[in-house]
Amino acid sequence: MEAVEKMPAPKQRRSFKRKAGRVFNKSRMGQLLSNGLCHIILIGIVFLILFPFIEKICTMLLSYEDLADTTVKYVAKTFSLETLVTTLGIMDYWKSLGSTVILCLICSFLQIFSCTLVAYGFARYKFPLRGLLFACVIVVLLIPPQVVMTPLYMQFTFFDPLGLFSLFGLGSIDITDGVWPFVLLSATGIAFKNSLYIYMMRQFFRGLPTAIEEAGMIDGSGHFGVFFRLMLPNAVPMMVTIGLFSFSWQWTDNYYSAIFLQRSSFQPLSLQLNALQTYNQNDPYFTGNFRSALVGTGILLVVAPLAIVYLFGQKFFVQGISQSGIVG
Amino acid sequence: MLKFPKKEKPAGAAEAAASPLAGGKRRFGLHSLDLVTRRNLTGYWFVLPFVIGLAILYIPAIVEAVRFSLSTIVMEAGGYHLESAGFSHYLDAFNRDPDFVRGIQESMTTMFLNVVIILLYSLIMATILNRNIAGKGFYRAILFLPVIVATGIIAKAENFSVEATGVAQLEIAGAASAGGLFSDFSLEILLESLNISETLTSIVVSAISNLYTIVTCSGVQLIIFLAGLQSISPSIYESATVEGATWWESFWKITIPMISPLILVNTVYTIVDSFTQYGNKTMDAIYELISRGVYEDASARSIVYLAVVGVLIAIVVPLINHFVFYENK
Repeated sequence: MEAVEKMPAPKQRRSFKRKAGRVFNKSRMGQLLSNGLCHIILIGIVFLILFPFIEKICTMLLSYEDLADTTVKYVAKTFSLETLVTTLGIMDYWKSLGSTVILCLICSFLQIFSCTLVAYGFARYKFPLRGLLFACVIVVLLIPPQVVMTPLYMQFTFFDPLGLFSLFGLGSIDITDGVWPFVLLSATGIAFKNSLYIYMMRQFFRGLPTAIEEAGMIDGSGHFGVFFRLMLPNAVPMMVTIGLFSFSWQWTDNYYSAIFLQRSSFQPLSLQLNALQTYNQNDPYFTGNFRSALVGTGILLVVAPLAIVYLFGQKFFVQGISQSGIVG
Repeated sequence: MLKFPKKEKPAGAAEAAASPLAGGKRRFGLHSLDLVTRRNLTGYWFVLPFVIGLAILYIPAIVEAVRFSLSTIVMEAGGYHLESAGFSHYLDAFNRDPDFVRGIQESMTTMFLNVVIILLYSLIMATILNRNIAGKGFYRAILFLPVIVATGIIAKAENFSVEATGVAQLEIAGAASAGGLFSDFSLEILLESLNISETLTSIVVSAISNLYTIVTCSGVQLIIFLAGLQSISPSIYESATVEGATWWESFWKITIPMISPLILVNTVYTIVDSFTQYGNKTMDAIYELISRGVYEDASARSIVYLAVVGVLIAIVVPLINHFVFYENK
């Protein structure tokens, strides 16, 4: 204290000035440092996510001899597209791609439609038993699909909703051989993770002002008119988001496809990828390394179209999510 | 609340409005209800698809699952019929199957670790992604990529691929994988020698050795947290800074309470996800039973498993809910 008092005034001012400058620099340095740290962490995680793909691309380009050669890693001695061509052949790629696109488009459009509709009902109307029904939505989310898979399969094999078909003397019909199970599950909003979409959409609609609705009503729209003309245009980013979810989850789905399409000629990519793992199991040509390269290439081939869709949908995706106001 | 006539049923609305004035007799049915109630009943039309699905597909499927678990399925030409088998499938699962109870215990442990690690990871990453740093869009696009690609069959095939190469690699050059093993091991010893509790050590070690799995499993949670962070008004932070709060203080006193409802959502989501994902011992065993056609045992096991998940969630949700801060309460 004494030392400070004894200090000459000008010097003190200068030191104060210097100190202020240092503080300023320190906070800027801190900012730079913490940003740098964030970049390092993020780059590490980006690498972690992308590395399997880079690795698979490298492995895909190795020739059969290179795969057996222990001195070769990542960079090929002789480049070859043999693995790629073999995988394309085994997976019957282009035909399966067509089936998958059709299946995924049907499912995701139906799911977007049904989930948006149901979610709007839950968000905007206080009908009796609403709480109970919404609890059902959550319970459906919690029940692992495997629990209901077998009974659902049985139901679709002997399809007879509420005994109506038997009532008219038609008997039960088998609809497992095709897309009908997927259509029915998607259209009624109980397909894989649909409860999550309903929940997200409901939170979104709850965040929209009721004034929009009232204005629509005054201008003479009915309830469905308000929904289709006013609410849906506002919900587009959110719909793209859940569409992207349902499209990609259907694309990589294995459980439902394996059960409902096992006997069908309609083979989506996910099943082909599954088959790739056990293709010609006893053939000595398919060594561990070669099979692993085939499966890796198969993964790349399944993911590639999805990654392209994601690149286009990505902007909406982030926007939609941040608009959703999930906080409620 | 809306209080004007609907356009959809103009005749009914007009009558309902006119009848009290005319002193006519009281009408029953839909028209005797007031406008708000009638408006709300329209909601049934919107949720109709879900109700139909629930009524004709889902509820019968669940009832059927319970029935399967209590009977023996006898396949016949025009369908199948069930013969009662009492609780034998349940008893088998507990008494005969050596893996079932252990599998559930293992699933619980994995689930607990997953919840802790994934929540921490996604919260930290969401905070970082919410900062205004260069290349934000790029980082976000890549970090959300696992939500799209690391699901379903891809996750399964990825495991297969890793296993296939893993075996080959072990055969060829054991040194590399042994090195990996060693580093894990030494980290464990280091942490234990520092007198850090065993639980914490196991969390840290499993977090580090399963980093890839964690990154790929936490996409949805990350998105939910990021959305939550973006919905917090910047003015709250501004006023806190003016009052002299540091970044650390505002993180604990603003960010955490504001996103605490999402911590609950994410916990539940992670629990469910962890219980149903690929690589979960019990789920894989159930799936294997289904593919072998042993539906009765599969149903019995799934129901026990579901009951365990249900009880767990029924305990966890109120527990966390106690600490959640609701703005509108």
